[in-house]
Amino acid sequence: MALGKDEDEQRLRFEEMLRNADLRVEELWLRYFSIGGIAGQFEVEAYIHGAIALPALQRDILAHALNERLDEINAPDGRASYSRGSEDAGRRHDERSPDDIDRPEEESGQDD
Amino acid sequence: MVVKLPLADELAAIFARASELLLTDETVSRALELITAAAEAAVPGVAGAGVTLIDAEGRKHTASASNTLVELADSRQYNLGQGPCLLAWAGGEPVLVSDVRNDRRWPEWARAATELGLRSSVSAPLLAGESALGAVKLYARNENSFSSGTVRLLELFAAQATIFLINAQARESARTISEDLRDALAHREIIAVAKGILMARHGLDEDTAMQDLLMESRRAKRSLRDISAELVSSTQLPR
Repeated sequence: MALGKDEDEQRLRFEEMLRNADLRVEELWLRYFSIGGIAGQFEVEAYIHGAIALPALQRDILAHALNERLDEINAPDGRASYSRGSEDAGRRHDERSPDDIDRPEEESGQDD
Repeated sequence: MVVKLPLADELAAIFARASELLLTDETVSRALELITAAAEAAVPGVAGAGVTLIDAEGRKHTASASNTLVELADSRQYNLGQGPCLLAWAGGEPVLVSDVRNDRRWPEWARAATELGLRSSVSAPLLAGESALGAVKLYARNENSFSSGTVRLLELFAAQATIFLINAQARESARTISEDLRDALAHREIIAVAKGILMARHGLDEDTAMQDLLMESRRAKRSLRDISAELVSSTQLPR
C-alpha cells in the first residue's frame, strides 16, 4: 500500500521520535488506547513499520500519545508531528486564544 | 496463578471468556481427572496416578488423584518439602525412581513412601514456556515398574494437561481485570465524555471534537486527560 507523501513524512517522523521515547509498542499502544485510540496493537505496530496506513485522526492520537510520553520524560529533541489538517487548525487556535488557559503543567498532579 | 497479559490480549481474553471460548474450571478439573485415568490405564501394574499443581507462591495441591494412596504419597512430599514430583517441577525434567529404598535424593520421603507400600514412581513436569505448573506422576508398589518408555508416555500426558491449565489461567486472568485495564478504560471514558460535551456544545462530529481536544491539549501544553477532566467538571452548575 502506497502512503501519501504527508502521511509517510508523519510516519517517518513518528518512528524517529519513538526511538527517543524508551517505550515498548505495548506501552505505546496502552497510552494510545487510554486516550481514545481505536486501532489494535497489531495495527499500530504495522503502521510503525510502514506496512499499513492509519486514518489521520488515529495517526494524530498515536502521535499525541507518544508526545505526552516525551513530555513526561522531558525529551529534548522535538515531537511527533500531526496530520496537515490539524496543524493548520492548531495555528488557527494559537492565533485565536493566546491567553485562554495558561496554567503550568505541574498543577495537574498526575505524576505516575 | 495469574498470568500477566498485554492489554490487547487481556481484552481478547475477556471477550473469549464471555463468548465461552475459554474452558471453565470445572471443565479443566474434569480434563485432569481424565488424563489421570488415562495415565493409570495406559501403564500396567501402577498403584495410582495423579496431578500436582504448584502456584506462583509455591503452594502445592493434588488437583487429581486416582485414589487416596496417591493423595497420601503426594501430601508426604508437600509436608516434607522433598520428593520426585517436587524435583520434576523444580528441575523441569522428568524424574524416575526405580526403587525408593535405594534412592538417596529424598531419604525422609523414601521412608514415608515405603510405609505406604510404594516402591517406584515416575514424575513429569507440567511445562508452560519458561515456567512449570506442577507435575504428573505414577506410583507403583513394585520396584523397577517404570521404563524410559513410561517416562516418554507420561511427558505426553503432562503436555496434554498443560494445555488445559494454560487455558484455565487465561480465563482466570480475564476474570481479575488488571489495574492497567481499569485505568485505561477510566481514562478513555473521561476523554469520551469530554468529546461528547464538545459535540453537543459546538455541534461537531465526533472526529472533529477529538481533533479539537488534541489541539487544545497541545496549545495549553497540558495532557489530554487534564483538558478532558476540566471540560467534564465544567458542565456542573454551582449549587
